[in-house]
Amino acid sequence: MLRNALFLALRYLRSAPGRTAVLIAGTTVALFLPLFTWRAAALLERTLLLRAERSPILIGAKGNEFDLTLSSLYFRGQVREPIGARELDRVRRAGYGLCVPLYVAHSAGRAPIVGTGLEYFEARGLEPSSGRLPALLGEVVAGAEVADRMRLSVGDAVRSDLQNLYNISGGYPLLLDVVGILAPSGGPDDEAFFADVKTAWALDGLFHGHSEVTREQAIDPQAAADENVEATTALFLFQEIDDTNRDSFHMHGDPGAAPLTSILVLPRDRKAHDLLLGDYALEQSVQAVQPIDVVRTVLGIVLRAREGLNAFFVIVALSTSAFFVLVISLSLRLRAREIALMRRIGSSRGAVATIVGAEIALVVAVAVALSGALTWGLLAVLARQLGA
Amino acid sequence: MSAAPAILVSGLRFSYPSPHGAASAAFHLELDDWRVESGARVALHGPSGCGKSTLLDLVAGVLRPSAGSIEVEGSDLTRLADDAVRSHRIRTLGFVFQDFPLVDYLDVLENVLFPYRLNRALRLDDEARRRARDLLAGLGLSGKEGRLPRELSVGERQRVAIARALVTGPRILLADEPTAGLDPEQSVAVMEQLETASRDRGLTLVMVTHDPEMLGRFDQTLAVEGLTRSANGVYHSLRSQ
Repeated sequence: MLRNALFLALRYLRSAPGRTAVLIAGTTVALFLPLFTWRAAALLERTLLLRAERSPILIGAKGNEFDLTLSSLYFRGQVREPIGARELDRVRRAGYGLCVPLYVAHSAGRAPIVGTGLEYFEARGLEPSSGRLPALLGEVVAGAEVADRMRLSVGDAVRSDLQNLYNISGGYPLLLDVVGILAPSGGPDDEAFFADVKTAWALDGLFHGHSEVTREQAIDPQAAADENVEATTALFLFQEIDDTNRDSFHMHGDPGAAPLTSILVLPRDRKAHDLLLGDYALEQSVQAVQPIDVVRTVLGIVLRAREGLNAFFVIVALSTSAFFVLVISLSLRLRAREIALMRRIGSSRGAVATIVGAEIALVVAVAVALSGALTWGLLAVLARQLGA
Repeated sequence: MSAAPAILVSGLRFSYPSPHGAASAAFHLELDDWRVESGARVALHGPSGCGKSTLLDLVAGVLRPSAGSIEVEGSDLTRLADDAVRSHRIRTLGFVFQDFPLVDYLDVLENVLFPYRLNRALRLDDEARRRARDLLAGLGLSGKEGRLPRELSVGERQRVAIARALVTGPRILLADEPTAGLDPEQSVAVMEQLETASRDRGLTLVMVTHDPEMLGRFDQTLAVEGLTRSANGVYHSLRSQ
């Protein structure tokens, strides 16, 4: 009977494609909205929490904790004030645990270039699927997604994005060698380039190389031999770091003042964790942030918004159900003759109900499949956006 | 005449309830004795609203009498449970309705096979499909199996409805005013098709008709004799001739 009911239901639904499409569309929307919202919120929650749990403490400039966490963990946005590199020496000397410098200020092909150290790859469990990790100045490894998007392979080169066309004293784009491609990690690391922190400073122009300054290029060619030579703008700055000029790269000024976005600390134990937080609690210019607390605060806002949306979805579901019932009851009224015919030629009430039920079931089944496919597709896009 | 009648009605009483309350009846039907022999062609005739269609529904088991017995092909419908009555109806009876209603969204072949789609008791197999095609061919509808009802003429629709009534191999054919609203030519064509089906298959034909011209084509007629009014409502009495 069920097979015959499905056959009749299918024929009936196909005979009125407009009405069937409206029913399916209405049901799909009513199912999709809450399904996608719940799943998307769960995905967001899971992704953010997982990353935050694996990043116990961040040390950064005093100020907005959200900016610090977002830029250090997800490479989104920039902190208003960086901290000096001497903070890294200080925290390393204190021996809290593994300390990883992070400097996120540049990009290549719109993917962030993260200046860090080899400790980062250890802390995140990242390994190259081809090539090697960056060991020298001017070398980068590409995350799996960004390598795929930019069709990069080992041996290629990428040019860093120009940050400010009108800042003639700032850094200029540098050509960087891709020495490795990271294996997919299912996180924001897939969407970034990683280089040694000195390479990132080179992009700032702090760490730089140029042609040798000769007396002919000096502002005062008559200066005594033991005096510093002041060069003119005719000095040629290297726009690519290679084996011929790598050793000539140098920094003027205080290396301890070189900027860092933050320092990721993985304390060796609970005691070191608490000591670090205690030590930084009274600091005036730097702070120690626990990303998990920041992410939970963000999620609290998301969850409150979701609760508000739930009430909206109930209204959508109720109005769709009412619409569905109305269409079905009107349809049954229009089909009174057909149903009377069924009854007279021997169909039971149950058989008629089965046929009508099969029509409803088919509409709902298609709507479930559509809303599921829509949810799945959009979640995949969202997951890619989140780096989940 | 066979010893076992196709239909045997005794002391039949049936009332439609009044909208004003259960104490009174809006419509009441009485039939003390009615016998239809197997293979006979019987006409039910009388004015509108006298209960002809109601009597067909009672014989079909669609309605239940308040008193009396209705034996159809040897089974007393009043003693059977609803499921058994429905099963009996499926196996024994074929219906042709006024206006020849077809299912708009099914093609001709599927309209003929419609009873098989509705009843668990009937098995839709190759044999049923072959029978449906043969019936359509016999009624001059060969090659139109895939058409929808809206693509057919009135006459073709009638023939599809007759094929649907015959496809399950019934022993009794009940026809409820199949010639109503048709011009004389169409009425004769429908009547001839029903007669042919009845004669060729040895079916008992019970047909409701308003048309006095048709009565001569039947072996037996059952006419409304007159109206009497009781304290409980309007009574229609039927008399066999």
